Amino acid sequence: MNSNKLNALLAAEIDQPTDFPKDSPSLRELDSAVRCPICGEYLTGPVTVSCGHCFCSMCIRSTISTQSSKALCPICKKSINETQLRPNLGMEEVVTAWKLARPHILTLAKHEEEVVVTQPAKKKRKLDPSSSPQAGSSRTSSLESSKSEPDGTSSGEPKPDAIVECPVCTQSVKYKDLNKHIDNNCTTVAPKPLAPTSKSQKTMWSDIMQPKSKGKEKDRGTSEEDHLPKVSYDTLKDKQLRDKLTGLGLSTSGERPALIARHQRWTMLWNANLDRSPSQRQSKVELVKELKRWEEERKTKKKKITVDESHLKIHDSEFKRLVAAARPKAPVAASTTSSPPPSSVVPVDSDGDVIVVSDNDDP
Amino acid sequence: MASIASRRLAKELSEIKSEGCPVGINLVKADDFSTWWFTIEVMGESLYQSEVHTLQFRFDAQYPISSPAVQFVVTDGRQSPVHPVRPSPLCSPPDSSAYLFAQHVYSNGHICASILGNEWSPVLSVIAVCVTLQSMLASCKKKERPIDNDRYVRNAPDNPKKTQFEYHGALRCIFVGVLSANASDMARIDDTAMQDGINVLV
Repeated sequence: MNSNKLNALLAAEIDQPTDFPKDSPSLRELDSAVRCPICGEYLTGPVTVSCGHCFCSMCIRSTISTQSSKALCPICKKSINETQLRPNLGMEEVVTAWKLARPHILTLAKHEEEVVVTQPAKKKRKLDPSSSPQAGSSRTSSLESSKSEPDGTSSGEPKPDAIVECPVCTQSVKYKDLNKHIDNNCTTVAPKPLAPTSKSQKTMWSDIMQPKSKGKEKDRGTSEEDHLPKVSYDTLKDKQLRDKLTGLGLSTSGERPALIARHQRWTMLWNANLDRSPSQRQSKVELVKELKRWEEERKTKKKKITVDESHLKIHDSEFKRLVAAARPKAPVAASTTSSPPPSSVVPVDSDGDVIVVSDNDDP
Repeated sequence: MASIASRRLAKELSEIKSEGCPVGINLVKADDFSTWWFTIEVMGESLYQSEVHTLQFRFDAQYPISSPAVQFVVTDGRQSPVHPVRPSPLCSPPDSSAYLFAQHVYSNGHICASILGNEWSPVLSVIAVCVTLQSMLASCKKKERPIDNDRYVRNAPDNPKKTQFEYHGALRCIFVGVLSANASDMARIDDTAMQDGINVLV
C-alpha cells in the first residue's frame, strides 16, 4: 500500500464517527446516529420515509430517482414513495445542536482518554460510590417534578387576571372579563374604540367568509413554498419543456435530454431544499449555482467517455475482419424480410405509417 | 468526481485505516477514488482455505447511489476463485443438486451477486461488499464455474455492471445479456444462451 498517496487522499478535512476514541463507543454511536447512512455526512434536510428510516432529503430523492420501478428503503427494503417523504424537523434540530457541541465534546473525550490512561484506578473508585446515590436521588426528584408539574401547568385555564386574546375580535381582554366581553358583542372592555370595533366586525365577517379562498389564492400565488410536482416528460413537447424551465427561471439551452435532466435535478434540489426548516434553507440563487455546478460535472464526465483512438487502431484489423464476416449475411436477411407477403396486405406500424421494406441493399 | 462520492470514499478509507479491515480482508491499493484493490481470504475450514484472491472495486461519480463495479482480478498471476482443482466438473452430466451452490464467479473475474446489481443499496460500503463476497466463498460447497461460463466470457463487457444477470435467490444466477452503450435498451446477445442455461438448470 502506498501510504504517502493514501495520506494525501485523506488530507482533506473529513469528520466521521471514528474521530471519537475507541473506548467511548456511545459517542461514536451518537455521532453516526445523526448522519445520513447514504452520504455519511450530517443529515441535511432530514426526511423520514414511510418505514421510519431517516435520510438527507437530497440523498433519498436521488436514490429513488435511480430505482427504476419500485422505490425501496435502502436500509430495510420496504417499499417507499417519494410523495410520502416527511421532513423530520426534530432531527434537524438535533443535528444542528450536535454540530455545535461536537468540537467541545471531542476535545473532552480526547482529554478524558488521556486522563484515563494516566490514572485509571483512581477514576474508577471515585465513580462507583458516588454514582449510585446520585442515580437514586435524581429518580426521586424526577418523580416529584412529574407530580408537581400537572398542578402548575397542565390545567389549560389561565389566571383570572391574565390577559388573553378574544377569540372573536382578537382584542386583548382580561380572562375574567372574557365572557362578559363576548356577551356584549366585544364592546365592554374597550368602550372607546367603538367605531373601530364595528369596522373590525366587518373585517371579521369577511375573514370568516373569505379566508379559505384567500388562503388558497395566496398559496397559488406564492409558489415559493410549494414542492414541485413530478413531471412525466414523455408527454411534454420540447416547447412545453422549455416553457417550464423559463417559468422556473432556468436556462433553456441544450438538447431535450439535457433539458429533462436539468428539470429533474432542479425539482430534486428545490424539493430537498423545502424539506429543511426555513432558517436553514438556501436561497434560489444558491440553488441555481448548485445546479450549474452539477451540469458542469456531468459535462466533464461525458467528455471522458469518448472512444479511445488507440483502441480503434490496435484492433483495426479485427474490426475489419468482423465487418467483412458480417457483410455476406446482410443480403440474406434482407431477402427474407423483403419476400412479399402472400396477400396484398401492406404492413402498417402502430403510428399508421406504411412500412417500406427497401431492397436497395441487395446486390 | 462529484464531491459526495469522493467524500464518502474518503470516509470509508480513513475508517479502514484507523480501524483496520475485518479478518481475512486487506487493502492492497487505494491510490485514488476510482479504483481500489483488496485481497480476501476465507478464514476457517472451507474449499478456499489458504487461497488469497484479489478484488477490484471501481467507483463512478454516482457512488454510493450507484453500485461499485466489483470483480476478481485475473491478471498478473492472480486467479479468480472457483478455479477447478480437479478436471472440470462441467464435463459431468448435469445433476441438479450439484449446481445448487455458488456458481457465482466467472473465469474472467466477473461476479454474479445480487448486491452488486439490483439489490445494491447506498447504505452498503466497500467493506460490506468484501464481507459478503467472503461469506459467499465460505459457504461454497463445490468448486466449479457457472454453467454458462464460456458463453459469458466470450461476450462479456469490460465493466461487469453492464451485464444483466438474472438472479435466482442466493443460489444461482444466469447471465441474460449485455446492456448496450446507451444503457436504456438491453441487447440480448443470444437468446438461446438463456434457454440453454435454464434447461440445464431445471
